[in-house]
Amino acid sequence: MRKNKRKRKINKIMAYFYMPLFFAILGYAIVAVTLSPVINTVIAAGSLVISTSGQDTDEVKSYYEGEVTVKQPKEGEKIPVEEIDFPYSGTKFGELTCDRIGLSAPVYNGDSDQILMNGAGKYLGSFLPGFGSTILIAGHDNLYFAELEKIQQDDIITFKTFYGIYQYKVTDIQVVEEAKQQEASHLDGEKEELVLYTCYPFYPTVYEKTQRYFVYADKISGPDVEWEETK
Amino acid sequence: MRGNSKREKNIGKIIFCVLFSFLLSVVLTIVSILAAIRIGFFNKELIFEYLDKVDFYSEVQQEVYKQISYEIVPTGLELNLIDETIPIEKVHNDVNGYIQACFDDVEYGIETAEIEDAMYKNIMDQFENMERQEDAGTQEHARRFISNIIEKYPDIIKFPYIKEFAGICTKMEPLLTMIMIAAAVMGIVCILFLLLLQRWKHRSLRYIIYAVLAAALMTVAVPAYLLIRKTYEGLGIRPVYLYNFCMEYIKASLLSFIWIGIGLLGSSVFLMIVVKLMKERLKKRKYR
Repeated sequence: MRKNKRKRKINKIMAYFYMPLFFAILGYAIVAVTLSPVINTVIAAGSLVISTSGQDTDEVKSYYEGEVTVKQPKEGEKIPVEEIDFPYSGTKFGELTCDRIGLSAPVYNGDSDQILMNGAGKYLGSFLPGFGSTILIAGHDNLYFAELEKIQQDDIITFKTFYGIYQYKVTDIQVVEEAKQQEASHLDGEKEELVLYTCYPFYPTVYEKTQRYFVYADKISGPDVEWEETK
Repeated sequence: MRGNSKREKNIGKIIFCVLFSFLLSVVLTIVSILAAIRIGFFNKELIFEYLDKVDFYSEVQQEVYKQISYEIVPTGLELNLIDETIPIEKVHNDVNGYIQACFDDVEYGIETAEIEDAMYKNIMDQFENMERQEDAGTQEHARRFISNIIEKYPDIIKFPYIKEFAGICTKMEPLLTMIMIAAAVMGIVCILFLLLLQRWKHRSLRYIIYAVLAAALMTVAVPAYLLIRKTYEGLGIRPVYLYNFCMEYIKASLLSFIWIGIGLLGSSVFLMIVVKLMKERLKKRKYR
């Protein structure tokens, strides 16, 4: 008798657990079955706007910390393209210097406003050094490219990257109207050419600067990269 | 025979009690979820509270300075021309004023005349330091230049989707209220039936406790899962200060579900005590 009473008491207490659990499971099951098309659509839409990888910040990153990391080939040999880890947009991958004029600018891949506040930016549609084509790099005339005002023909510009050290000799300096900027960029060039450009004139003004200052330099040393152009 | 019909009657009573208890749990869940949405996601005061907590206003101020500096740098002018031209109080008032206007569905005009005057003075000071004589044409151009770059300020203050979100909150609130009232009425009907079905009221209360506990479970389960897994942290929101604010706001809104669930749990514990007291009183009356 006492045992039965105790058993009923335990059942009543356990009912406080399994009854709510049963109701909850039943409730969710009914919602899942009746609203499954809506739920699937919501989950699909959610996966478009929710990323599983971490949040990207707006900060520029650095891939190059002053050391050549790829094994340097001997004279006449080339660097296989597989050995080069291409930098993402917003990543620093090299440094431009010209001792005579005091030019020293970190170089990032890409040329967004944020990048140009932190250094010089390589146009994403141009090549990296060693690939035998145009390397187009922009900078602000009052920040990292301020020294370009003093550059002259035959000056040597050194471009240190994480995979090699390149040197370019200045061949030409031009001031062009903004409308002719595309043509002046030499993006269709068939030789390796370093093209640096900035706004012109170099003095501060509230008027819009409608001219661009271009510096052209041909490659004189540095390892070539072995790659095949896909057609 | 008589015993069989009495047993069938009892089983029937239990089935109906379980049914009404389940209905009550569903209705309570609906009321709890809608209440959590009202005090969480659709709560304008919560927005203002968390804007303060994550230091949103100074982040906006820095973002305005950053965006304006992108326009100033190519001109060659010194960046100090924007120094202290946009006070934090102005940012605070404009952000809050804009959000309030979105909820009130009115237009909010952002005044920039004072900022422009301060920047103009700084530019003229810079030219003076450079010992440049500026004519009327340059002065007019400086004014035009400033009014062009200051357009960034209202663009940044009016952060994206707040207007649409405020519109949804305002439209949904009456609907939520109606649904809550309807659900509350249904809940009262279920409670009445539970009280009528059982001779001993403490037994009816037990079924009500099952419903309240189930409602607590159903209210808390999904938000607790989202809070633990932090799935919402993968939302691609820019800029970073807006992302930080949204994360804190979403977390606080999800926590409101948890608080309501805890409230329901507390209510069920209270009802359990009441059931125990009612049973003891019955026993005393029986043995008097």
